[in-house]
Amino acid sequence: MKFMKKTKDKVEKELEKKETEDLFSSQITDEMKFGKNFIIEPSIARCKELINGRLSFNGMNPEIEREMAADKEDRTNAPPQAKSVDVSDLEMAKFQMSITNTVAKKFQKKNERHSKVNVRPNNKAKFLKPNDDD
Amino acid sequence: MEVNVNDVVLPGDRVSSSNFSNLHKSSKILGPGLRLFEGQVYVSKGGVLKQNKLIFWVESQKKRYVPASDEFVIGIVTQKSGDYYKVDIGASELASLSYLSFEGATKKLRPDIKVGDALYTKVLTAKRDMEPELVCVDSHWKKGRLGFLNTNGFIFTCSLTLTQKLLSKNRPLEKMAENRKFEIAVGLNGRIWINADTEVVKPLINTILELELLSEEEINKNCSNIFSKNCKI
Repeated sequence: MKFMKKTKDKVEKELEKKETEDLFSSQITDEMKFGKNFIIEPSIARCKELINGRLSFNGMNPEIEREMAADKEDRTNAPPQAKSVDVSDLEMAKFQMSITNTVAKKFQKKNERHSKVNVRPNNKAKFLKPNDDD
Repeated sequence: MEVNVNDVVLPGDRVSSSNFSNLHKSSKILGPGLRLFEGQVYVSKGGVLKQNKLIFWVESQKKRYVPASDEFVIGIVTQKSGDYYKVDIGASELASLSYLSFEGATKKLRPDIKVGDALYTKVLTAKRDMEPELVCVDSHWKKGRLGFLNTNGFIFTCSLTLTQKLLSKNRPLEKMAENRKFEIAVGLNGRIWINADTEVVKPLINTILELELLSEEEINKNCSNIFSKNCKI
């Protein structure tokens, strides 16, 4: 009968769920169970914020000193650089808007495309008949 | 036993959850020496438990290097095998370094590295079951400060703790330099390479080895005095 079949399906589903849980229980890590509260960082360099160990002083190796100077500049200038941007938000919005129009146009049908209001006016140069009155 | 920050800890000690509870909810970072087991944090090596904001780690006096990714180390090429160099970085296993992981290297144009050369390299991967892998380029494929260390230099070994003290945020090496001309590479695997005039090399090595037993604050205060004193001898 129909109502009995439903119960049977339910029981089977539950059994299957239990089986898969048992099967993969060894592979479920603590991280999956308890959520990602801890991040593991194997390197002590990150924990103690160590600097790069390749250094040169007073012109012994100009190549390394150039790199050191560049790093130092990055360190001191980092916060203001983050604020100033090449493209302002407004410019970006305008640019994105024009892209949206272009892409939208691609998906329009041909006759729709022509019926659009902001389509460029058709000002193709027409052949002008020469005046032969003279 | 339950332990707190700045305690002396032994493997198996549990870090008391009160250390984490008063931090705000973002994820905490567990550095070397700590392990997560059933939602609890356990200590896996002996030392002193340290904390810096959200980061926890165990600090210990070590001489044996255990590779960890993104650390800068000094390696010595011991073997060329096919497409890889085998490099000794003082770990339990030789590390592998592909000849393609140098700036400007291609299959035809191999870097000019010979057996016995010293390299300042970065550990790319360090897994328990695999040999560590090194690279001589950064993420933009530029060599930056990595690569070949020239043969005029002198390499010596020290404890891992000392190399960490030398590279601390206080920059003790910068203080020691003053007007002396030298070039140094400090690998976190306990190897230091120095290139300088002969009259600077000896006092510099002596100074660095003297710093071994000083704390970070003492080093910060006295390093330049010790170096000047050693230079006069």
